[in-house]
Amino acid sequence: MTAARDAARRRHPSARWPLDVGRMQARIAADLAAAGHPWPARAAALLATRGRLGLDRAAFAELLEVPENAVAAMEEGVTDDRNWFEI
Amino acid sequence: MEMMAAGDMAAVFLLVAEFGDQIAMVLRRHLRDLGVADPRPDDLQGLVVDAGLALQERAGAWRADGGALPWTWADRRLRALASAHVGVRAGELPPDVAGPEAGPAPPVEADEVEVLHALARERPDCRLLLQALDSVASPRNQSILLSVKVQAALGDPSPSVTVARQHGLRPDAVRQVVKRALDKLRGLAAGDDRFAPLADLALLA
Repeated sequence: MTAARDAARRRHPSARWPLDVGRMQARIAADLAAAGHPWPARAAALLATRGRLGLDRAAFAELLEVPENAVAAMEEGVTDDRNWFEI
Repeated sequence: MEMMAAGDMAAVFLLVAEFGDQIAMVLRRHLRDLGVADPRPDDLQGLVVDAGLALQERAGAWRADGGALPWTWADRRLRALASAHVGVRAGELPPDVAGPEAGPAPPVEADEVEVLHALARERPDCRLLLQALDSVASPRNQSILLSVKVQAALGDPSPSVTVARQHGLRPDAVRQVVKRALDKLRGLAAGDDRFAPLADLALLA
């Protein structure tokens, strides 16, 4: 019965498994860097923030009051004449 | 998963934040099957990250109407991750050292419907309940009803929340499933003499 109670507690959301965001973010940054992304750490941080908020790019861009293509460019590492980090 | 299926890399953070414990539970089961009963938290964190990224890679092929949760659907892939992890960690035993004797099988969290099926083979009251459930609820809703009742009996203060997470549903949807199934079972017990004994079951209280 004790084991069953423990199992019930483990299933309850109050016992939720804690996400190690830093590890996930570092892993994605490494993948992006390997793929030749020009600013992998920044892009991974942006993805982590947007992901944890559960927002798509349009909603996230609206929240930040920046154009959606700016979010896309930062995440995808699109380089053009503009410097997105100085917008 | 819709975000993931659309190729949105950000979704993997939400997936792991929301369902990392479910994924960890599946990975723990595979590790236990492979002889690792108590993995280090750090190893498990790393495996959940790997699993999240593996699910992200395959999200495009997952179908929400398929009935399986993503980590159940990708169970083989998660098992492969667990197996690879054990393989990396395993050291080779010297040839003259005997391995440990096999111990008792680790406990497995049984599915409630399967348990009821097993009990129904021995007990007429369980058989009757199973027949009634089969006539009023789908297999998924039977599982939801029994899981909620088991969680409640084990002291879970919010069983609908717990079971909703297991099934990828909202808690109010789970409550609705439970209410409808119980209403139908009570109707069956009141209106059909064959099922009248069910009225005395705590399940229907």
